[in-house]
Amino acid sequence: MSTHPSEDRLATLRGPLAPEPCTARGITALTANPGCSRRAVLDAAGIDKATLAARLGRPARFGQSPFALARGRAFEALVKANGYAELIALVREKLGVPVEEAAVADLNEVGGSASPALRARETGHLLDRLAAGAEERLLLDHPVVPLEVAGRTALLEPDAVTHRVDGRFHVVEIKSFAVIDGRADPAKTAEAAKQAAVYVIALRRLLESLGHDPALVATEFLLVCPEDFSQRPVLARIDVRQEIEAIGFQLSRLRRADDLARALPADATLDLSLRSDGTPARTDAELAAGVGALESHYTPDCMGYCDLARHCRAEAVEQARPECLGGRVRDDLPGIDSTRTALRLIDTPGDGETLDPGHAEVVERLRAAARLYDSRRRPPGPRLPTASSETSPDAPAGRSAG
Amino acid sequence: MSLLTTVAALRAAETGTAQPLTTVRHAHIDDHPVVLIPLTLAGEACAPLAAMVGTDRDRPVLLTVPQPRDRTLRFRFAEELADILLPLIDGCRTESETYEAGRPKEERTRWTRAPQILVPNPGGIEFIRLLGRSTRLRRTDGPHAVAPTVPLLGNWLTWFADRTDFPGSGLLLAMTRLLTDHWATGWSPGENAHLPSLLAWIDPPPGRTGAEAALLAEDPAEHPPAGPTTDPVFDRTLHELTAARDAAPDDRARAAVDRTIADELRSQLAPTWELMWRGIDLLRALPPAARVPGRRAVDRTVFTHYTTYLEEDGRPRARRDHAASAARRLAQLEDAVARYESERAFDDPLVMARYELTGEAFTGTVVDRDPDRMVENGRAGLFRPALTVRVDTRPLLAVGTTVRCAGRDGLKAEILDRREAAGAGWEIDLQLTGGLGRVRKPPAPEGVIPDLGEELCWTTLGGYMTPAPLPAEEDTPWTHGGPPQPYEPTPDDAEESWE
Amino acid sequence: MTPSPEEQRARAAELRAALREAIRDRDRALAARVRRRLRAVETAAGEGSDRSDAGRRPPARDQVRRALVLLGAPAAPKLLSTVHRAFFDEPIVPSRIASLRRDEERSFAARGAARAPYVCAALTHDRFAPVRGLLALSDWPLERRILGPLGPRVDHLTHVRNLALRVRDIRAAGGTESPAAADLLRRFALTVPGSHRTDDGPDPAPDPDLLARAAEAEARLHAAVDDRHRHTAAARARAQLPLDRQLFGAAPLQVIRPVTDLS
Repeated sequence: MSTHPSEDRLATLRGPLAPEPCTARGITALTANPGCSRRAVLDAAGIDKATLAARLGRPARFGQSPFALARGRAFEALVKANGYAELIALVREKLGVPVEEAAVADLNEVGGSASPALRARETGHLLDRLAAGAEERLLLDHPVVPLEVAGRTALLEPDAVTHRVDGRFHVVEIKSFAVIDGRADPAKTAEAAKQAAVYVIALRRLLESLGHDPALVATEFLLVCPEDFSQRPVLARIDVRQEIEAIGFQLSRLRRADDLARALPADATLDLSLRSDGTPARTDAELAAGVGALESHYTPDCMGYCDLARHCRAEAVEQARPECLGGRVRDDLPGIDSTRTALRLIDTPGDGETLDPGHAEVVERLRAAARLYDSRRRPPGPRLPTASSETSPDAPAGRSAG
Repeated sequence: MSLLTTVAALRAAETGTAQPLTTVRHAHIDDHPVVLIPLTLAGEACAPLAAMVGTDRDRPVLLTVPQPRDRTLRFRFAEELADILLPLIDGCRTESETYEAGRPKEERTRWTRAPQILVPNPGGIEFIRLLGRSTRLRRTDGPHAVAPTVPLLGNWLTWFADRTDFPGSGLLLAMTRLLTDHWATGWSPGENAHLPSLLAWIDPPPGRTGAEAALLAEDPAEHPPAGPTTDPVFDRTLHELTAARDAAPDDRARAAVDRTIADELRSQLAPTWELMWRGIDLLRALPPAARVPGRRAVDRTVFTHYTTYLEEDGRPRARRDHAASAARRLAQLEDAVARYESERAFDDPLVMARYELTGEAFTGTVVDRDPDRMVENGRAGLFRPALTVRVDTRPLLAVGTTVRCAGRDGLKAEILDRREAAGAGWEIDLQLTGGLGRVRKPPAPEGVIPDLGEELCWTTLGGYMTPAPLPAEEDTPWTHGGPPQPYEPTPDDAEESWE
Repeated sequence: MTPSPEEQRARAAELRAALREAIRDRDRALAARVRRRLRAVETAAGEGSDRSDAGRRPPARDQVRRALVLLGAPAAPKLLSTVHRAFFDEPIVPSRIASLRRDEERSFAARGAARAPYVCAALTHDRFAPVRGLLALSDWPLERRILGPLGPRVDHLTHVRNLALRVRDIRAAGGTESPAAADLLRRFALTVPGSHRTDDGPDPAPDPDLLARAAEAEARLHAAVDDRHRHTAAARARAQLPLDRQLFGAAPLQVIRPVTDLS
């Protein structure tokens, strides 16, 4: 067998369950918090993080709404309906594709089968012929492109790929968030760009492996969104060179997951499998120990996308890490790794002789702020009774400080 | 933001109790605020799903859209919302008062009340902006006609959303922002955007710390999200119910499903409704800052302008602003930001402390005074009473700097000297250059010159003693810079509903 | 004692909340149990009724055939339904189209060509698999039912031309097309170059004659290559496939080695 040795370690951690499929969205999440070893190993091992979070007693608080899913599917179907009429009209209007170009390839099925492996093979054949100039296609619908992620092959599925735009392949992402009066949600656009970058990387590597120039894949992608409150699609061309670089770097770092996993205690486990009687193969405590052995890098942003974030937050709160209070507070406490330490330094003048000069200055400023805060805040006491709101313009003048 | 906020957050995290960021309330809370909690359908740009709205805590009105993909039902929602909001807005136009403004000064009239809408969070404001955008350009005739109140509602919502960008405006406010302006929690800003947790930090139930209560408040079963995004797990319930509605064989069956949908949506909204009013209670319990009524007067003035505009012209705002009006708006915004920051500091020693920390303000005790001091200047000489104040921290302001007194409106001084005091602290010599009335020689009017031992705060912050400059009547928002783009019916209107 | 409707509704609401809790905790077994109880309560309360009124509707088969004859080329269920609503007054229930092709295949196996024309499949040009989601008529020649790389576009142009001509005919006879038909034409006009009278952008009311000619003009550009694909593939299919497979498509490729599926 030619299995990567590190995959063995990751597979052992995972236990008998099949690994979670690796999606473009999952890959982009890695770039959101590249310093998180915990997430790197969980993803490399293909652990179902949502289930893991539930087993650790802090289930994730988000998920996909069925309405959002349905809307996404319906919009993509609309754009691709009637022989890709809307999509073809868009690339003709916005990108000057000549009318002669109208050949398409539907890679949702191959010979009636939806098997990703078959579709990936068919995609590879077709891309090979297209790159060689032996065939012409304006659009490939849902091609399947392999990408090596931490020793595993992920099969990724862009919404579409165009070929005949400026002689290059362009990734097409069809998203159902609206562009209203020419503006789209920047966060959603950024996420789409990251996903597209993952596809660009995968397509480039595939072409390279087929002996073609990877630069045949454009570093721009085509984003198709509904306009205003209608269903009419609009197209934007977005450069993703930065995203490609960032994600390429993260992918190379993911190999590090092997080393991280190897450093774990021999009995560490992330096995979520159930016995035949439905009881878990491993206790929750064992899982908690396995997760605990992996270093996390919690920030409040994790709450927005990582299933495990509530578990990591509890740890971070336990350790009083400044990140828990947000980026600004953390930046105000350079070199101080706990809010308890910060408060001790603030409230114990004279403490901190051991601090280096840069540090001492930070503490001095914090002490000054604390002195001011404590002297100016309103005195503690019973809350005022509910007052009716002010309407008189001659309310009492501002108080003097002090 | 300031290091003081960081200190407050550290203390909140340590004690598990929210810490005050102000000593007074800087926002106007109306006697009859309109509380509006919108919910939208996930995945759609602006498909209203439900709203709880009203001015009476005990009598919330529930609006629902049992099938949000149905264009007709969506506009029925807009109509129902208009039927509630428009009379409330109109109700502010019962009494008027006169005031002086303009150059040269002239007497003008404005309403004594203005509406105030409170939504749970910035997402609620965004909803109002989008609902305004999607309704103000609708036609009231032709194949996709809507009720005349719908585009009028769109104009108002657009106006509210526009005004809310101006700090200090109290026309449309988000509860989470109001609360985080006044309290620091031991959590991050992102987590504070969750209204149930934020209120739990500030006002925990007996027997729990704010930190503990905030964690419990994250349970979506007990505390549904405050909208406009719904809980995705709740959406599964809703998805099944809307499917059942679509499959209903007759009107009676459909009405039964609609009732169930309304019940379910009420269960998602009612907890937030209660939280909104608790938030209002907490804010009302804070004493209002001195300049709040002045800012509210600005609200009433722009409200008056806009009602006049709607009556006399009434064209909707264009899809996009013209460059000229966008630039003017930006300048007004910048002015409003600086003015609001300064006013807050003058009103509130805890806010002023931020400027003390950066050296833009100092607090000191008067240790010497020369109330009759004259400075040589030609024949008459200048009346310049002098003060020496003692401060604890090293003064950072240079000699020659002009400072204003935070406790005494109009009192202005120039720094003449600063030196280390014998014993401890520093001393600053000031000569008063303004705020003495029209007096040109001693004695100064009674009580103007600070007494020995008095503690006062001095700052370089702008005075802003006059009311905010208001746009001239003809400059009513977005009418300037050229006529608004008239509504152009686009074929897309027909496609706005789901196929 | 039977619970009152209010009690039943309250009970249902409780169960829905319990179901959400189970989903949050990812407890599938509990979720399934709660869901069953909820169904029972809902049924008792007369909610979520699935009484069918299929009897009153004309057979989907006839509706689909009528729409296909008008369109003149293989089409997807959604388009068939839209076209039927626009030109024959009522939409076709999508769920009934879904099962139609399999029913027709079974019917053909049982009764042969007796009930022709059947609603059958369009075929891919390479492996003769049924094209995902497309329906066709069995009395169309194979050339019309086989889609090469240009097939989807050429078929769309055929649809556009035929619908435009139908609208033109309706008007010529002194009638007016339905709003849904006008809508469809306007949307289609956006997808065919040269279908607008001016360069000022989309025409709110496109000229059906111009639209038909524009669709024909683009189709001519693709005709040589597309016809070659169709003819070569049709000849191969006739040589390789029995009649039923020519109508309903070759059996799907079998996956020998199981692979991890994408979610």
